[in-house]
Amino acid sequence: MKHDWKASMERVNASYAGETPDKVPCMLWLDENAGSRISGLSIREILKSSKKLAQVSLDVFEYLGMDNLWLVTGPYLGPYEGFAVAQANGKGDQFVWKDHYTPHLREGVVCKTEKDIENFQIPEHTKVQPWPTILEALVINREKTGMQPALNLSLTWSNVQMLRGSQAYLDIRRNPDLLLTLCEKIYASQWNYYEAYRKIVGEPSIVLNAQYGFNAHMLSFEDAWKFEGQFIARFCKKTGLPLYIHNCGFKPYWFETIDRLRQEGVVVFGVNGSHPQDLDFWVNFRKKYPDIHIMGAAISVNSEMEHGTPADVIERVKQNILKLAPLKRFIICPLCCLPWRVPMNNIRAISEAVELYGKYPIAAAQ
Amino acid sequence: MTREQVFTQLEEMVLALDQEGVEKATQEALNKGFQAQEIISNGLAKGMQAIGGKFECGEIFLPELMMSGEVMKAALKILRPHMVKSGTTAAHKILLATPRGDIHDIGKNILGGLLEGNGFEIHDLGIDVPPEEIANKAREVNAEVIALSALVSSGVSSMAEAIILLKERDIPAKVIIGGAACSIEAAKAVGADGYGKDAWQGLQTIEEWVKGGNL
Repeated sequence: MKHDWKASMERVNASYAGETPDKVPCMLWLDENAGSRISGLSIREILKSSKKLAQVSLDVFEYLGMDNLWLVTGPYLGPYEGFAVAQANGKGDQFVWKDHYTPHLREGVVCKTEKDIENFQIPEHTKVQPWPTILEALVINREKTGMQPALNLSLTWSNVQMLRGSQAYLDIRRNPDLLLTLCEKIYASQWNYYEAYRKIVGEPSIVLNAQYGFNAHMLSFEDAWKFEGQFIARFCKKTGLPLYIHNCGFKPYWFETIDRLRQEGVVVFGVNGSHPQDLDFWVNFRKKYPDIHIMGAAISVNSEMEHGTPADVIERVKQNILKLAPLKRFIICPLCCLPWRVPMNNIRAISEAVELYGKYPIAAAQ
Repeated sequence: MTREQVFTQLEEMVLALDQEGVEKATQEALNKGFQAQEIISNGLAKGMQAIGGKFECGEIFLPELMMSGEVMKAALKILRPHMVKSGTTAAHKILLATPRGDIHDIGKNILGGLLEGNGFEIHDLGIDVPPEEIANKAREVNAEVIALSALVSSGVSSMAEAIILLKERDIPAKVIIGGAACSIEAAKAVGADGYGKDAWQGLQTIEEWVKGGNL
């Protein structure tokens, strides 16, 4: 059956607006692994042209019956921002391509020394590949389906880790000013990306930011704010864009982060996370923040999705739906990007569970 | 300064992440005739335990944990020649790697720093390491523990391959895995002996193996 993108769009928009959709919308983070696995193409073949990238992405999301349409280049800036920066700084050879796995930049190589940071060159995202391909692919799929893309950023910690490596953690105590200089350069690069996005795709209506620094197993809240939070706050205040926070870490500072961002005048539109795994946390979250959208919640790709059976996945999705869907503003979405090892039947079990238990009114569907 | 005060000072300086202070106090303790091993076990190691306790309850974070590894490494650099003299250098050998398919090395580096700071002998194979290389190196250095870290799932698949190869070749090293792509379920699935949800837990697990005579 042909995928009904209009219905998907209405479902998602109703959820965003706090209204009642026909059923719980269902989203997936899919990256190159899924794109390659389902299309049978290598990553570089997929990225050969914007047309090819758009088509593979459309095919994959339709095949899995999802209500979101992102690109299979990963919905965040991670690896390709690293690639762009590496190319601009004469280290493009440090980017490691894989045929069927997500490519990555070798960590800590591009900004290994203080001099590297001082001389850091900002990439021009309208020109450095694969960004023009990615941005044009967004336009193609929007024209085909009407689905609006989101502006995805990574301010700043995942970029810090990618560029500076484990040294960044020592910098926090030994050389915080150097680290802040790097954060400023990353901000400038992300701003350049934002301008490229506006030029090729158009004005975004929301920004999705990957905020990995805000995890209690990594940084104190104060350090997370200093080296990450202040930058996304600055970006949102300058652009006036509402913020959707992505955090797939194990111990996110959800409450502290949201409260601080709001104090700063940022409109926090939604959260996208899978931890804590305790569903009652998310019920309490909804009570505390009735107007903040949840895309999640307690479904980890590294537990039942990867190691369970389809029945395990259906049960987990069911529990999420029963607890959170009646409270509205909820999209079911396992986090983070689906690893290659997740069985295809487990992926399909998500939409099966939504068909079984996710039709509104939820109580009647049980 | 009494014996207790010497050790308490060392412990407190490790806890304060005062590298210069630790170096100085370690040298002074040696000058006073204390044995390297008792400086470690009665002073420095207690400081590390306190650091770990604070990390576990969220009072300190990864930057401090990494710094503690650096502080301990500096102290061990001073103590090592004295350990050689007293014949207490038999450090346990740990092989570290990010397996094939994964080029992330932050988690591995953090664990490596901590292990080295706690007196283990580290052999770091780097990133994107094929199973054959892991098995060959484990045999060459007589590794007692192989610690594998993966951020992406392709690394977990390679972990499974490496563990199968180690078993086929009768290499007796214990294998511990960690990293964002891993979980307790993943450890069971790939046949690892242990799982560390973070670097500190990885260190604790390996130290428990040492204390339990399991290496």
